[in-house]
Amino acid sequence: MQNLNVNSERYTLNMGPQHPSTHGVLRIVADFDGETCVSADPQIGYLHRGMEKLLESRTYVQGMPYTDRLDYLAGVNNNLPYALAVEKLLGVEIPERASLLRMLSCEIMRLASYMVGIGIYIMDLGAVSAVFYPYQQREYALEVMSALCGARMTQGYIRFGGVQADWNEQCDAALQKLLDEFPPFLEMYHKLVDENEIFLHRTKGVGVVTAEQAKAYGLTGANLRASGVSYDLRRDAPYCLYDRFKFKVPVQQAGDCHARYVQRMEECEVIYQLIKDIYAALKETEGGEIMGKVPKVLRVPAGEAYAQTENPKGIMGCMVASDGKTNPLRVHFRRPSFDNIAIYSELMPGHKMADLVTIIASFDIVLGEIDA
Amino acid sequence: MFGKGILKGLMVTGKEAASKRLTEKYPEEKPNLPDRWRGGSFALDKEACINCGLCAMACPNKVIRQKFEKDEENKKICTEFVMDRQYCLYCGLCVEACPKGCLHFTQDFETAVYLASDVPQDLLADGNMEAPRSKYGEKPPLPKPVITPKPAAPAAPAASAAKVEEGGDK
Ligand code: SF4
Ligand code: SF4
Repeated sequence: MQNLNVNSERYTLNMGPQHPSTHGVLRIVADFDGETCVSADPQIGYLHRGMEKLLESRTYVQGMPYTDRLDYLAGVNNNLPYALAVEKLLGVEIPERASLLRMLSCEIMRLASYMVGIGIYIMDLGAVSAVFYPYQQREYALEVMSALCGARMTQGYIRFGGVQADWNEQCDAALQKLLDEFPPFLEMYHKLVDENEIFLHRTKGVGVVTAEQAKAYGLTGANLRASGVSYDLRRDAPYCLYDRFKFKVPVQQAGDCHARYVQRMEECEVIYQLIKDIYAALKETEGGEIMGKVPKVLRVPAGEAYAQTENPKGIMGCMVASDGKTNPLRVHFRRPSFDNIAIYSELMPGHKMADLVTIIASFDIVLGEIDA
Repeated sequence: MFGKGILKGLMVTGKEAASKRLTEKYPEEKPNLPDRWRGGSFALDKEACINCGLCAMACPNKVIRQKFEKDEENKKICTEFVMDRQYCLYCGLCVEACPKGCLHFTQDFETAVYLASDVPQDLLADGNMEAPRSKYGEKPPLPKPVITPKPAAPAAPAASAAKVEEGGDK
């Protein structure tokens, strides 16, 4: 390797797979010239469980609990594209109440996932106390899910044709707690972090992604919107009953690590409002059906179907190919975190070592999804 | 002034440090588990079980080990019913699949054991029915059938309706 700078040494550094700030088992092989990164290469596969193969060897229904383990911070959101794709092949009609319950649980888990994303981001920059406040809010969100379907993280709540269980009083109480606690938290968190000079210095102008770059690399979700591209599947290609609800899609123009933080914080407000609206709509369908007409032994007609949803990390897509048997011929997932990290090799060179941590954290990746 | 934002943040932290404690003091305080909790151990109502094996068929990870034999009167009896909990996903598909509603989750959560051999749960030896039971998978009571005075409809629509059974909640 040629040394560009006579005063510094060039070396290769392995960040991860066992590194606390790589969000699990991501490994970045980076070349440094002194403190400055000259090339970076994300290596993946340390959490590979062969999810797509596992789904092929099980029946459609049995595959559902496995999808939770992709983005394990928002289990129920991963159920949805799989269910939607299979339902396209089945051609079943989803009752209104079931659709609302799907949306409500997805928004609650989206909020929970954003809380982790924001909290861990700030913690990776050194502010450890700032991780616990969002986690408290996440706890309230998980309480709702555990009252609804019995599990906190790997919910597997969605079934083909509807959902597993109906809303009850315990869910009411848990959701009320979340709705009461969240606005004061958001205000407090803005006070805690927004003006912190260290945070601003470490994030402003770091890891700038332009709108062109973001589109070229296929970024989705909050990372795309932080670069000035206003694209949200819930608004632009609505699934479930999202077309019934009016909500704003926040956009940032800067595209740097700071913008990605601001973007998530602003989206939290939108999610909060959406939860309230969907909950109000759910109350009007009291006593409605939660399962469509689906045969007990599921034989999915031969064919292929693709469905995509807006997940907390970006657009999750699911492709299901069926040959008419009880188990799928092939299932493939488009996992948003996997596509989001591709830009690292271009984004990281030129930054200092500590900025690499900022960049990784600002993208809010989850390794269960990257490695599948 | 540089550092104003940091001070503002520290004031928030100070205020939060003096606020009410939110964590549970486990083990003195026990967590308040929701009714539909799934996890921990299983409970089986042996009398109600009809040895159909549907729970084992529903399981995605072959957790349920069942063996059936015929007794002298040619009746199907169960000779082995073990939950290999080390493979369990706690997905609840088995509980939902049971036609008699005799397989349950319990509200146990302290399930750590010293020996690996204690993890599989032999439900035939101990049905575990005394443990606080979870309401997961319980079907809501069916609405009272409306009894019409005279049978109006012919048999045809009833037969087609029976073919398309509802999945999940029955
Ligand atoms: S909870 Fe799921 S994995 Fe566990 S025994 Fe039941 S069906 Fe099998
Ligand atoms: S599904 Fe229910 S009735 Fe059938 S074997 Fe299992 S526990 Fe017994």
